[in-house]
Amino acid sequence: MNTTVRYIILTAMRDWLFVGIIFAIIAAIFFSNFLGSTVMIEQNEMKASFLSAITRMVLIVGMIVFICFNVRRSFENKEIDLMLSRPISRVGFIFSYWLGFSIIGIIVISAIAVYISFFIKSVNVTGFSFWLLSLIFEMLVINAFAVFASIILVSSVSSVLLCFGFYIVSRMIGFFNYILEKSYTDLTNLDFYSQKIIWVASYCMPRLDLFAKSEWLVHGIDFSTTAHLVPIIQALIYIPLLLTFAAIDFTRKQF
Amino acid sequence: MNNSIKPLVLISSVLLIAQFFLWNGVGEFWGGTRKIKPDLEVLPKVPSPEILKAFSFGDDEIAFRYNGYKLQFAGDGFGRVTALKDYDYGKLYHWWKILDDINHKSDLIVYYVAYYWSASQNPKRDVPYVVDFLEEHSDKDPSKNWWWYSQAAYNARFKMEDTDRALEIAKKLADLPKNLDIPLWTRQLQAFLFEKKGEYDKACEIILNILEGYNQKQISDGEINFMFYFIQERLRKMIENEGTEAVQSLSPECRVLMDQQKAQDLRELGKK
Repeated sequence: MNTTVRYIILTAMRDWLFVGIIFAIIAAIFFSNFLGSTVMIEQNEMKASFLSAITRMVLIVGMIVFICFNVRRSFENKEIDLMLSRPISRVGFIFSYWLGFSIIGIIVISAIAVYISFFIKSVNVTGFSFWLLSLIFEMLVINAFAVFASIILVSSVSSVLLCFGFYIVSRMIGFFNYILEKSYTDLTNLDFYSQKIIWVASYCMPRLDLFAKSEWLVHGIDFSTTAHLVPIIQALIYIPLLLTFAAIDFTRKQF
Repeated sequence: MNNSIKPLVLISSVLLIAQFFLWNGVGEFWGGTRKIKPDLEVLPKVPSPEILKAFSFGDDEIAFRYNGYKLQFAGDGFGRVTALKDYDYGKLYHWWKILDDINHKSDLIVYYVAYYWSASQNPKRDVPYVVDFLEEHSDKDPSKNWWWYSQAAYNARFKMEDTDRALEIAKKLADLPKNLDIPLWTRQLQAFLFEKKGEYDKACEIILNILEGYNQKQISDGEINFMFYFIQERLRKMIENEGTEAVQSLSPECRVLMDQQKAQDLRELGKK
């Protein structure tokens, strides 16, 4: 397993992934600093909010693209065939792939954390800790989904698109829930069944909209609710679920 | 010309002519794209809270900050500057409300409203929206937002010139918990407004209530001196100028205080 994890990190270095994401994050820092400095008041809060949103987007997009293309290329180059010739179970292989990508993600998040803790003033410390933890969990869920998508689909572009779709819907699922709870009249059959599909989907999708909220950085955590604990529980359920699905598909593949 | 190119030249000529008519228009049938101008509206349309939530992708704070940022620059762009009187304050008010509902802990919107939007060149028409918003924002957390109540009262009194509206807000300021560490003038504000309205009896009562309601140690000597000066000098002189009717409505305590000062003034005059 260690070898596979080291191999993933090596491929990330070889692909200049770190360099690419670090450059994108530096650009995000400049961009959020520029925007924040042009606001009349609460400049630090503005910088923190923009930085939180932009770096999250950079991280998620970067990880999705890297994982999907990396896994498909490994299939096409027969690298996976070679790795499977070693004494490693297919379940172990999926897990170590996900772990390798996750270590890369955590290294990138550490860079973001270092910047925020040293250069953004007036960040709420408790909120920042929860935000960081929650961002790591969000990245872990997305990594698991990207591994799953690139295992089940034969095209890397389709995997990337599926991951983006999954991420957007997961981030909007709270809103869909809110809309579904309202009562509507004069629905056509199509409207009715569309609602039912969304209703069923809302049971299966993770609530990523509750992860890594920028307001935690600015105003801290509202401990009167348990919403800040949802990311941990959600990730603990969803990551093993996705990795199991990927392992089932991978086990059935013929090489 | 090569025979195989001829049809391509023909097609491209027809398309170029079509492009010309698309741009220029075709009589009554089509006005032309040259007449379609960019929409340089002063304020973007106000979205519904649902739409704002949907496109925040679960991060309400970024939706708040982004739209707050857009609002700061609304009406200005491409070298164009819009006078505050030319903004639609009804629309602006809905923007303020919708953003304040997302995040009322931040001072971003209320700061813009109090120090920027309140400077409209048509205060009678526009400042009521400002006052309403400042009051509604402050109502969400009165103890934290006492400063914005004072701004609302100021705008009502001096820009709307509506002392009654200012008094409504000043009452909310005065009713804040007594243990709250805020300047004493916030409690006295009603008295100054009543003084302005010519209701000296009420102004005097408010100052007396402050003197009685607070522990003397909580009020500095300078502040106590001012309050006595307010009753014994400022109000007394106003009442004396306006005649007997104003004197009749005074409470006995106020009358005693004023008479004391009057007697002292007479004594000092006699000595001279």
